[in-house]
Amino acid sequence: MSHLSRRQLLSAALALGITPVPALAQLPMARKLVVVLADGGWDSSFTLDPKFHSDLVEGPQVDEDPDDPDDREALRTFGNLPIATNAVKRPAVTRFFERYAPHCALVHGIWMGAIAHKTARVRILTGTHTQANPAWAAIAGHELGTDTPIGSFVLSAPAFAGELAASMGQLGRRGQLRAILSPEDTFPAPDGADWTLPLFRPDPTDHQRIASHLQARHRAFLDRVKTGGHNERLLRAREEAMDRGQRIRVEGAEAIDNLVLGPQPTLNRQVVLAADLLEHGLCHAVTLGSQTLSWDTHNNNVPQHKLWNQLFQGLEKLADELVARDLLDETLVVVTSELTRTPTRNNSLGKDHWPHTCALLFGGNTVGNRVVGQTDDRLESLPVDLRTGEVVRGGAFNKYDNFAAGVLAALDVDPGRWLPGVEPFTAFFGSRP
Amino acid sequence: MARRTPAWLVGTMMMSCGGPDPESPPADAPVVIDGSDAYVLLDPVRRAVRTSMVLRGQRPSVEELARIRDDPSSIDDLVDAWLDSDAFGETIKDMHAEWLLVRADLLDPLAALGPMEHRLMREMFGSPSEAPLELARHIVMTDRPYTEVVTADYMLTDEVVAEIYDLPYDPSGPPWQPSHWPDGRVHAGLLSSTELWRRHESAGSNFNRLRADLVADLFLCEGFAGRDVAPTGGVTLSDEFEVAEAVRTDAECVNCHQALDPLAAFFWGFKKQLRRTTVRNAYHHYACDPAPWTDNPLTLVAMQDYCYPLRPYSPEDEEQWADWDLPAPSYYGRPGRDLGDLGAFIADDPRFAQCMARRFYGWMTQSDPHALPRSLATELQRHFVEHGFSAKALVRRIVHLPSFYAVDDRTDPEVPAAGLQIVRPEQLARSVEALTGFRWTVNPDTDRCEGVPANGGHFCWGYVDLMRSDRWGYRSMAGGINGSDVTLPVHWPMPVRELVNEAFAAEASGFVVRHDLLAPTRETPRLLTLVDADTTEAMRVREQITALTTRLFGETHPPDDPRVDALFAMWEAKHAQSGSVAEAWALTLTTMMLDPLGVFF
Repeated sequence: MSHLSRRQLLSAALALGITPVPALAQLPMARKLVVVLADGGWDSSFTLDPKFHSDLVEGPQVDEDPDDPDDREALRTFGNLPIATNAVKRPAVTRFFERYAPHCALVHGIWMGAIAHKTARVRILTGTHTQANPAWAAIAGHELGTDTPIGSFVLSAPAFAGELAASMGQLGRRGQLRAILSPEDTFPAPDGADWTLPLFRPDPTDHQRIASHLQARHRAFLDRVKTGGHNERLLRAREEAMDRGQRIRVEGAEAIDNLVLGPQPTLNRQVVLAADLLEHGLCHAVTLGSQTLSWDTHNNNVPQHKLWNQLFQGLEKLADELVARDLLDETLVVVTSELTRTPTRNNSLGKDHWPHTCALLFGGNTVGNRVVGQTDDRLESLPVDLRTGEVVRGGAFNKYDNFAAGVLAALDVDPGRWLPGVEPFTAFFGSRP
Repeated sequence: MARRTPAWLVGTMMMSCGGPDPESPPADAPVVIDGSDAYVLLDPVRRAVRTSMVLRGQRPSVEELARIRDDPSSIDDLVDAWLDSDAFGETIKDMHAEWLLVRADLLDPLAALGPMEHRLMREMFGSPSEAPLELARHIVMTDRPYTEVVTADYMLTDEVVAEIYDLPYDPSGPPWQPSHWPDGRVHAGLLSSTELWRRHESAGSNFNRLRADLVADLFLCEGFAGRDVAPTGGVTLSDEFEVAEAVRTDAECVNCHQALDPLAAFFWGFKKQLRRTTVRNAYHHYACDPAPWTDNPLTLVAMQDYCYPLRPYSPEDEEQWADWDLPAPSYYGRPGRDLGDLGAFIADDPRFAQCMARRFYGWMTQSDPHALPRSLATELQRHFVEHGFSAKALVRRIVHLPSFYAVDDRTDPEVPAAGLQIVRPEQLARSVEALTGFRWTVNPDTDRCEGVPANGGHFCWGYVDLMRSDRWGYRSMAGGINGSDVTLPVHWPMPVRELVNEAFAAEASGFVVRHDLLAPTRETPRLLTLVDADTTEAMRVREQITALTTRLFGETHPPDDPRVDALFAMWEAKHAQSGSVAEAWALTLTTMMLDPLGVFF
């Protein structure tokens, strides 16, 4: 009988749905990051920020089916985390927190100050006002990923790269990177074409020849533009990009084995890809998006139940994958949305945009079982002490930039270098030896 | 940010980016410095390459470069010719696609149902999304006043768009031709474009504010959405009437909404949303019912409107703003009646001319249009207006600015040098096609196409161009936008961009080799003009490499030049390894296409 590795044992347990959740331990700082963006604006009252007590918020309870005694909303507390649950509509939420609450922190009341998707998306992902700036995931990947082919991968979300583009990578919304790295998986030529694809694919030796030739050419260019200006930075960035590209080609074959060309990957598939990329040391940060899910429920808010359930199915899968690969303790997972939704429903029984949001964090050096920040009875952010997350008189709003700086700080990346003057919101993580 | 260049370095820099090449003799690289001595300028050949790439997405021909070498002042005539080329029209469309965000193939196209079932998804996506871009192209290429983008009393349609909306269309005329909306809307260029407002929809109780913001941002460079929104005092944003009250009375709301809401009021005639799912539901759940659907006061429309031909505009809804206690249409305090008035107001607003001047300069120099120094912005604005809002005149002025064709700053000029630009995916696709005849198209349809709708219709694309698609291809992976959530191009090298560009170069090289060397009946060769499939003589191979260098980069090297040596060594090694002349050329060509001279200009 062959011996099973720890990884194989964990994978087998995972397949049986019995993944053991590790006990909390003294662990090093997180060195990896997974960002999950619920793109479109989630209704936080449906799960993470219950407001059953408030008459001002039309939460999930308005959708209860009076004829179904099981379709009942409940406020459950998992450890210290109060969560809105529904056994019929959102069972995955309950399952996730039953297993992973000790690893989770909730950040309530992130002040966004924007009600347009595009603006809010830029703010929550970059911590700034402009999409010309890099996302904090890109920053983290860039700072931490000097040893990996790519700093930060984007699977299915906006890729705000700024001048860190040379360390960022994309898989393509439909796994297009597969066709680039695996010639046999490319799409066929169009009907009527008198050729087949690929028309020419360089072999590994060819790639080396191309790379060494271009390196020599770039060196020749660089020797003449060392002025520290735009041109030099551009050429150096291409050198870095070429090198990282070649490393993806050489080191990425196994990691992209789960990448399928064509179908839009579900969140469940994305989380496996993310874990693959991290495990194989291809990058330090991955951003996933719920592109296949439409959170923007203006015309009918009922789909939020299904969306939350699907999200937590994906998060449970992600947590399981990270556990199975021994990565949970070194990986900070940040789950957020660019907006939440209005406390009450509009004329179409949908909900519009509300310029606040919240976040769920787990893994890494997240202090589990902790709720920090707060919203009032109308889901509006309350001023807090940015170090403790407690609501205090004279406190400050935990704005998107404070939150972004806090995530960088949690990863031991100096936020002052990237978001100068912004006080980081540090209440959700602890430093560990 | 200003960049200083040590004087001793200027000469060598001229050789690298301003001269023929780092290793080539600088004899043909005259140093040209403008009167202010502010910049290190590209030499005439490099300047022509940059200008041609920006205007056409194509490199100059060998003949054009020879002409430049003989007479550098001929750049003026060449620019005029390039401005009249079809390729410049494509550039105008690319430029506007980045501004209007209508090329967004990640979003589902309209459904191929009912009378449109014979159309492929490629057509259902491509034709509508190109319609507003074709209008811009038409205005610029016919040198009409650019103000027509907001005032034109016509629209552009092709056969597919005409079918979708039942528009007058002459099948014997040009593919894209002027036409008119038959639904009673006032024509006002892009402002009356169905496709622009189908892409930028008004969700929930947004009441066209997103559309108003787009207009203010796009045409005036003064959007609203970037400002902080901090509703306090208990305004319930989901209560339309409470919001209507707040935007009139709450000081924090009034700040934006006193201008935003009257601007939004011009757009009430357009359907809030017109999506693929809406069309499918109209066919499959409502049988295209002509009776008004009255379940919801926000959707007082007949389902018939969502069946082909679609009815995207309802004049009877134009004044619905009044039903929601919202302000009447006006343009920053000037009352207006319809889209025609709005277009006239915008065209007459000095901010329009300056904003568009900024946008053109920003696009053409891969720089932030908002960062353009005011002095140059006002100069370009004046030039634009004085030349009757001729976009060609504006573009001509820009390409003749030293800051455009500078490679670096010499001193500390107010307008920094544009510096090296990186090839955009659309430019790369066009330049490769112009050089090789290759277009990277594939058939993405599986056996059943993508997710065949259960209740009729189809989702077959036929074919797609991978460098112009995000759904199937590589546009945003190669630095472009995807029109939906990647809305700013990346003018910077990226690892995946390198992989994409290499794969593209390899396919194009394979195509050339097949065409030039392997085809049973060899037509006129495109690039490999001096060799055959069995040519292995060193001198012939070297001469061909030299000829390719000239064709691809405008460089002239003797066959024994060190650069030719390097490529010849690669050719020889591949030939020795594979025994195939064709493969040796495919590898050599692939490498040459990835040269810094091909990627940067």
